[in-house]
Amino acid sequence: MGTRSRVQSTGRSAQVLYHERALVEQAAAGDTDAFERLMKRYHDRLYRYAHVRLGPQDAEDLLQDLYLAVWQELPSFRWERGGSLSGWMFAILRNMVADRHRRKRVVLVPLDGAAEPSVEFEQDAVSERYLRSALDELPARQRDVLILRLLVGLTTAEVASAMGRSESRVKDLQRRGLSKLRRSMGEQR
Amino acid sequence: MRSRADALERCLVRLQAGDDLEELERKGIAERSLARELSIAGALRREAVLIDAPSFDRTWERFSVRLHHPAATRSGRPMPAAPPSGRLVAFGAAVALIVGILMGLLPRVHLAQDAVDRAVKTSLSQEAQIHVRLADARLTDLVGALHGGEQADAPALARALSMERSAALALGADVAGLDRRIREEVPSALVRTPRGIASRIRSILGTLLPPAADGPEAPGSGSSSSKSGNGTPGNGSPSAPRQPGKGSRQPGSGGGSLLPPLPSLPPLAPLIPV
Repeated sequence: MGTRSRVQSTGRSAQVLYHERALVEQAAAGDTDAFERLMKRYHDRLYRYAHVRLGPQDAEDLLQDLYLAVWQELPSFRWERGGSLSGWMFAILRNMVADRHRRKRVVLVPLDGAAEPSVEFEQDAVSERYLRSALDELPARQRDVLILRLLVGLTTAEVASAMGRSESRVKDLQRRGLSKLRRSMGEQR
Repeated sequence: MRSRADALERCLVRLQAGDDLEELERKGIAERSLARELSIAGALRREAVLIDAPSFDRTWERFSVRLHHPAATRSGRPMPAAPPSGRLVAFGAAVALIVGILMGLLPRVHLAQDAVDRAVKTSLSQEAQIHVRLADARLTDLVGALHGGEQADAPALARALSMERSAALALGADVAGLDRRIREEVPSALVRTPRGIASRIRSILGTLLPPAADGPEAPGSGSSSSKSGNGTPGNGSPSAPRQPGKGSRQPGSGGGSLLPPLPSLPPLAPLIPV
């Protein structure tokens, strides 16, 4: 996918993407300052995914491992392969999270100090705790699409790149995941 | 179903851009039936705001320690290709090979064969050097045994030395340095060695040693050897295994080692007939 088409699909400006590309090239050549700037751009979003999937304790540790993996593998990253640096990094992060889940049974925790805020749902209030537990009950792909798309804030194209799926497949998983959440939350109310 | 997924995506994009759900419904952009899904999506997005990421600077500070650790060195290995691309490359390679064969390009396989030959030769050279080093260690052990009063071990060590030297020679190693050390160090060590043991060593090493001068070696049982305490102890590899001494007992014929020479290796046969 060329840069221009990626600009259209991700909705980001060409200038930002060209700058990102330059940073990637510098970091791949061993420039740690460029790598730092690159990671700073994605830090919050990467942490958010790790936090939702692992909880706050493990999330920061995992981020350290992720930075190291990205640093080591960055020279092999290719724009031509489809595209998206964020998709590539989130693909690595997803694998690392899955690996941690395999090694130990991770118990998802509710948000720190969350005092049962509620979701407006057609004039009814639904606990966000229900929302989180319903999210955890979803099939893995639907859950990951919703986390990446709605909690992390990636575009459909970036989610598609991270999950190795087409954009239309991502949209379909998104629709099915939200429908299932709606049904399960309807039962819980 | 596809249109419903697309409609949902369009609404999500509008909501993310800051539009209001009710406004979208009023304009007919959002179907009434999608309202619940869009509400849930909005709730998930609001929940994301509650997640406070730790400061990047703190994370980077911790990470930079690892970044400058040797373990952070880049491996240089390429990332595994995505499965579809990998299959395509494999398929392309197979097609290219078949086409190459059909076009009569097979003789070029000899280029690959040359590379294999070079690799095998390099490997043999490394093995030869190992035998040279082992022979060197056996020589050190032998000289140490002769000087240190352990003459009984000397014939076995001499045979081990001879075997390692023959193996190195058969693999094409240069043993000139080893031979020079044998000529320089063994005769002086034999001076105070009991005659019987000395002559056995001479017969084992054969022409590797210069001709013996008459009568310098200690006669008899070797009691005099205990006086020769000023010799240099062996400094060879202590871990080097000692040979059991089951080598040939044939007398020397003046042709060097008495061990049967190892057969020379045949030239590398072509792997694929051209």
